[in-house]
Amino acid sequence: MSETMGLRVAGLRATVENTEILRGIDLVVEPGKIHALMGPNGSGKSTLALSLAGHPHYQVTAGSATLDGTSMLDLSPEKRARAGLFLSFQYPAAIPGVKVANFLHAARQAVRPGSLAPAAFRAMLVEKMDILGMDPSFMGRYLNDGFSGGEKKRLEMLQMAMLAPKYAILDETDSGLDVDALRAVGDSIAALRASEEGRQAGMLIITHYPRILKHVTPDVVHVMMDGRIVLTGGHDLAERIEREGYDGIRDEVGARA
Amino acid sequence: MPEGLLAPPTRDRLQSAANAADVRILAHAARARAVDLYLTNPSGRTRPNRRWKIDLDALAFDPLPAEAAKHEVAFSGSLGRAIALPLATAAREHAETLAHITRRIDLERSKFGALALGLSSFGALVHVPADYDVAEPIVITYNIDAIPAFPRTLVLLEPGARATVIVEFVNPTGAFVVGTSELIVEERAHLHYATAQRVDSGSVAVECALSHVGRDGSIALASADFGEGLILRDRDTSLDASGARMEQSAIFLPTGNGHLDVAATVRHVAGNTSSQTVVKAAAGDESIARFLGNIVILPHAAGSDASLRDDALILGPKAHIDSVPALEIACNDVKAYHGATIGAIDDEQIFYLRSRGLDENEARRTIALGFFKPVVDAFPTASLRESLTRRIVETLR
Ligand SMILES: Nc1ncnc2c1ncn2[C@@H]1O[C@H](COP(=O)(O)OP(=O)(O)O)[C@@H](O)[C@H]1O
Ligand SMILES: [Mg+2]
Repeated sequence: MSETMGLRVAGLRATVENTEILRGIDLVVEPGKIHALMGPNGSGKSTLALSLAGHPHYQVTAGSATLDGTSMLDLSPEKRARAGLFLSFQYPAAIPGVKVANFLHAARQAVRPGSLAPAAFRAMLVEKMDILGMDPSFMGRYLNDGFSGGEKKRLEMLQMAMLAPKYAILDETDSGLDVDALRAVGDSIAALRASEEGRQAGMLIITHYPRILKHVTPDVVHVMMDGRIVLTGGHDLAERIEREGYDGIRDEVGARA
Repeated sequence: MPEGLLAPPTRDRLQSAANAADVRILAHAARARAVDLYLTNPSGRTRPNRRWKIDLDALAFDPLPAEAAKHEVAFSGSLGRAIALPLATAAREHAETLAHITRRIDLERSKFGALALGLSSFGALVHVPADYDVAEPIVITYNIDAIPAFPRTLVLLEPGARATVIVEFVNPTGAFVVGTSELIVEERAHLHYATAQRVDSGSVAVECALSHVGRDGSIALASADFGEGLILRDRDTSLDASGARMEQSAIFLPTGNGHLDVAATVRHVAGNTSSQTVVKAAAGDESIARFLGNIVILPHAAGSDASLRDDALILGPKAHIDSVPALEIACNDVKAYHGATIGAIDDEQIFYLRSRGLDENEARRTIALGFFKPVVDAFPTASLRESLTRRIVETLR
């Protein structure tokens, strides 16, 4: 595989309102691979996700981030999306008056222009909603307006399925979901990776709890604390966190530092 | 803005204009009294100040221009058994119907209603007989000439009748229009009444709308105002008997130096009446908009339900929107709701859409169209809804 492929983050530092939150992040998500990013609340996971997506409130002060060789940090958020990056928001915004179906169509057009005839778009939508166990009435509702937490997360997953990104960052898509919803999210990720468009998709699954990882097996697990990745390992690292929580790792890392 | 060169008319000049107006529509004595009331009735607005520069109690215009007016009224839509006529014809052929309406509509208590009454010489009458449903919308188009115009629109729906009436204005630049909507909806009748207009810089458009709704009757009022001129609406809806309902929807989208000023009152006179008001306002550039929303629930109106929802988006750095609700409730057993929001377009919403590939302008436009969607949907025809959507998009560009 080429040295430039992947979602590659190196030495990334970022501040919010003049406070440094990310203190040097190095991370490579290769095409087709699933990485889990775990860490206690407040460790900077969402800050990393939003910085990579180009949120204007987050200032990147050092480092680089490239997507299959394209440098992203100077691109607008929409150009990053068109380059193939997708963020499933921890807290998706509600937009009253904008119908889900119209929005999905506009987003698909923006990200993959002219790639689907209307009939094919509708067929794809029906198929993806079915995988996520979503009722067709969703299409006529307004974007995240009055949605329950679980409904919002399913809609994020539907958007990921419809946009078929090269790299997806899922920011706590699992939190607040019941068992069925969690399984639906797992199925949706599996379906994307089984599809022609999504076969090579790389994923960064941010989670606070290891629950989701029972449905999606990560190739690599990273642990983030205080704005740094402090530990990287295999699936067994997630199991250790499930057993011990973060305290053991904190002590170990603290002792090493 | 009104022409800077003009001054407010003197009483003499208003009286001369009233004397010159068509006596077949209204007798001189009644006109003379009405223009006097125009001078003495308050506009209900604050005195001019740094922000609200125009004195709405003393608008500048010449009521008696040198040339004769060439205003016209046209109708479209198939009427069936309903009647739609120019006011002059109606005054000759349907004097009884006109009297039936004007007995119940008290224009004289409104400043601008009194002015339109005193000086009006054209307008339209729509009359729908009992239990008749006019399937197609009735469109009234006023082609306004370049001198002051005082069109009156009178609508009478007899018991059980149903109709949609759309009022359109074709205004020249520098138009000065003070019109009325005089609407009677009798028991079990339903009226959908909509108007949309763009008022250019230098033009003035004023409406006094007075409505009465009878037992189990309903009225849906929809208005959309765009542009850089002065737009003023005074609306007063009276729910006179049990089961009467009103739904009122308004789009405000002033731009440039536009000034939009709307006072809407709903009176719950009888019990078990309901009203719902939804205003979506967005002010661009240096424009200003004001919404005075009054809910009045009278002592015998138990079981009434009134809601008032008013959301405002500030689009321009110097734009300003005021929303002033007033609830006057003289009865215990009622429901009254008021909710308002004001602010710029939310950054998180913009970022969310941009993260899905929409550029910043598309994102703003999408959010603003979504903001207006509930009120656009309150307009009666698909073509009107589409043209409103187009206008919103053009205005936001
Ligand atoms: N918009 C913001 N404004 C101020 N502080 C923020 C903002 N976003 C994040 N932070 C701070 O940055 C730190 C990391 O937060 P976050 O990235 O949300 O962590 P996580 O997603 O791992 O729970 C926290 O201390 C949080 O308070
Ligand atoms: Mg987070």
